[in-house]
Amino acid sequence: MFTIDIAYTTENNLKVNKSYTTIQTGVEIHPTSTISQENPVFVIDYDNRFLNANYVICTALGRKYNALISTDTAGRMIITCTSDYLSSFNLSNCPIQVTRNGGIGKPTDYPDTKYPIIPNQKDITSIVRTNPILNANSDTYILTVIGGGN
Amino acid sequence: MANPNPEIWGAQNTWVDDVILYTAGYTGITELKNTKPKMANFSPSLPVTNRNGNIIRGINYAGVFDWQVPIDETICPCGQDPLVSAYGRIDVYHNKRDLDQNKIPDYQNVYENENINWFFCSLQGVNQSLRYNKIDINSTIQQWYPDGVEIAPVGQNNEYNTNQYITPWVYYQTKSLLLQIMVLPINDEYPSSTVETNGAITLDDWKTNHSDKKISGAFLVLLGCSEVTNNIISYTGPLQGGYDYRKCVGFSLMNAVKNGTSEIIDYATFNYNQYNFIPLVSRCVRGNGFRSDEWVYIFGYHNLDDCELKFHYGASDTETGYMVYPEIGYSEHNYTQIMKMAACFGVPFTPTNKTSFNILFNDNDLYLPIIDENGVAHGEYTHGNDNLTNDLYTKDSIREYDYDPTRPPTPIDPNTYSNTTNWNNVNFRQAFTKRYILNSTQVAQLSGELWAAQSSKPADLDFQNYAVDEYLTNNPIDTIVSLKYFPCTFEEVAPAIVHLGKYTTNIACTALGTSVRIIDFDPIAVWRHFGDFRDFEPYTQLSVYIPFCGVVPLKTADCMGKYISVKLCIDTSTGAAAGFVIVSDSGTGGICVATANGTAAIDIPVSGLQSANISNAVFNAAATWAQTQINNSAGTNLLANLNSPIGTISKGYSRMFNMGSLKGAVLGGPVGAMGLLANADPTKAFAKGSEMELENTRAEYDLQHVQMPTRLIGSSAPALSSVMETAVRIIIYRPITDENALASYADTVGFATLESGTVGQFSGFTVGTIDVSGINATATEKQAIAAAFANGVYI
Repeated sequence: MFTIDIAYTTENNLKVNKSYTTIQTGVEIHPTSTISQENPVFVIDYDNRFLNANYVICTALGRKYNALISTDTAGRMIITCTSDYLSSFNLSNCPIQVTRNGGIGKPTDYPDTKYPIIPNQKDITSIVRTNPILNANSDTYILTVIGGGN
Repeated sequence: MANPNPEIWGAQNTWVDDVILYTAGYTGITELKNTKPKMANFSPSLPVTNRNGNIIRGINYAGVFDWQVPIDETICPCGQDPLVSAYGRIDVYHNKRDLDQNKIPDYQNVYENENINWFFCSLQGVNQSLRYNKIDINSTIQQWYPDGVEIAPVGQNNEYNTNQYITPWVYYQTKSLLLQIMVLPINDEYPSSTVETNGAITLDDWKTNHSDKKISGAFLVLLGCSEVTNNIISYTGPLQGGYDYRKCVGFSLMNAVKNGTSEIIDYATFNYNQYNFIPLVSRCVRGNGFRSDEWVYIFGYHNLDDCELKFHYGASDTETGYMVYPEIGYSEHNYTQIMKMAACFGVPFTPTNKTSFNILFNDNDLYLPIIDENGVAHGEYTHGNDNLTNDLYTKDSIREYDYDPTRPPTPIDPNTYSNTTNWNNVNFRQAFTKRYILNSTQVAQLSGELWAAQSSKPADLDFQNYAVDEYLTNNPIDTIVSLKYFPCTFEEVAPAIVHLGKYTTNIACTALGTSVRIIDFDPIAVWRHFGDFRDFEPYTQLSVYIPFCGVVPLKTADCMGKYISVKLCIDTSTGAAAGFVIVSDSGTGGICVATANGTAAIDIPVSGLQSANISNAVFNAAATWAQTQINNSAGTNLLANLNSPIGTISKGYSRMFNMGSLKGAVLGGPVGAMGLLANADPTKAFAKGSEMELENTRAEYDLQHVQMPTRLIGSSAPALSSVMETAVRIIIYRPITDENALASYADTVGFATLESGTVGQFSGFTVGTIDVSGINATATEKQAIAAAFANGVYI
């Protein structure tokens, strides 16, 4: 016998360490058949409060689960769970090589082929340098003649 | 400690004790020099003499260096690059056995190898000239090491493990030493109130109180560090306590050089018997001459810019030998030079006398060298609060730098790089032509001059002979090679009068003295706009417009963050233009990365009369007319008309040169002859029925209508490029970011990055490769976690 906590969460399924709101703690489970560690199915007595639940915390199995609640005609509730592996384990110390991140406030030096750039427009600007030697109105002609000794 | 680096020190079984020093018996420099100590891998001894020529000290250096074989291994303790060591500036003088004049560095013949190493070694002991050997079991002389020092293998090979040799350090703690810079005023004019009675005063004391004194040298005193706590570095003071500098002996590693010349070259060695400091600039005594093919070990002898070498003949008549020492006056430059030399050693230093040896790291009198990532100091330094951002403040050991004496240094790239394109100053002689700079008024004047030249022929000269003689050609027009308009100004050389061949016009102008007109445009700094990948291709593209050459695409990576300048060269003969795009880091110099060609000048066609041709035509027409007259007169008027061709030619000339409208032909105006044709009376020529009259008329007509043979020099050239602006323009194409999409982009796609860390260090949408070792999940779950992170999760 072990217990589970019935809860619900509104977090994105891809969220690491989801927050959740507990509906009932210490719901007793008396396994009568095989219970999977990753995808357990719990059968409990019917309780109206659990109809809106979608999250289960099972300390005994060391995991948190995304839960699907259903009822049967015998007045029981069947909780079909799938492991929420992103929240069940302490991943904070796991080394990671990040290739994309929204938390870094600006793009880095790494080319970002997905970056939202307006594809059919370019900003064109220019910087000018002049030299007074070069003057289209210079009125300068060079005459080349043969001989020409003065 | 194991042999750290066989490449440097050789295999341990090759290490050989230094027997030279004590077996030589110290009988004199000659004996030691003849012995030419060369141990297997290290520890040959260098005899050091006092000014009487007596050996007072032997100096070890590590390694045997062959002539002209670079010392590749950096063996000094902090990884100091030999080339940046103050001693790397050794000068070898060759000046006829005295050193007081004509400082002529003789690198070319004597000292081509600049690889000179140095190291700190110190020993402590009695205040006298020291002799040391391996049987000094009483430790009269104690070798001293600051905290954290590891010594070279020669120390490991010492069976008594103490007191053996002056050994270089392999490692030391960066803050385990403080170097105090002392200077030695000349002529014992130092004040008695200085820190020590032996004459040395601190560098700052010299600056502040005795800048009117000259010094003969600068020295370093080693101060040991007892501890470093928080921001305070505590020094024990000079080694062995107290201010007995004589116990602080420092050695520097010098190179051995060979006299590759056939001459005897003087050299100087340190006079070491009085002040046993680490010399930066020191007294020297003259050696016995450096003979051809002879090896000698030379100490560093660094001259400051306004150092005067003084030559003294002994201290008294009874002393032999020459003493040579520098006299160095105070200047900011010399002060800074000495500071930089001290900084090259890579440990903290001070130019002052610190009465308290607990010094805050941000003390204004505590100086920290700036050491690069390889542990090499280059003479730059910080002090005061700037010390707190100095690497030396945060790093405790030279081990924290990349330098590793157990690892041979990376071979130095032997290539010599040049990051500046060399431009030639071209100005070749135009031997057979002359070029004039004209303005539009003078061009118009030239037009008239051509026709004036035509009519200037004296009546009694044959035209062709006159033309060849006067213009060097058959026709005046042929003297002109080209007339071009240039959209730029030229440096005018000298006033000149335009000459057409030998014919002198009335056009006063200036001569052109430039073969290529070079026009430099100021550099343009190309700054990054976004500060990220968008500043480079394919997002950002660069082009440069060069006048007359067009738009040249540039590689953004070549130019971003650098300066682009343009050099436009215009060939004054052909008008061809070449644009050179130069990229540099600082706006000066730089490498030419792109070129473009074009045409800057515009050909101005010049037309004129071909006198020789018209001369022939007139002659032929007149001959025809004369023949007609002969035929018509059936011989009766033959004699009367025989002279007529010549006369007719003259007539024809006068007719033609009275045609004022011909001058209009110079710049494409209507040919005057056409006007004549229009004025001719066809009824007179053709309406008569008489054949004779018709012939006469036709001959007259031919004579009147000899076609003007004109000549065109040049042709109309496309002038379209001149319409474009005459400025250089860097054109930058930048992408336009969809700012409205950025927020959702960050949240759902994320920005590209390449950051490493742990999951807990990131937040928001994250894509990456995670290492799931160490978590208690099933294999399936670990795969799922990795897959989720690969596709993106929210942290």
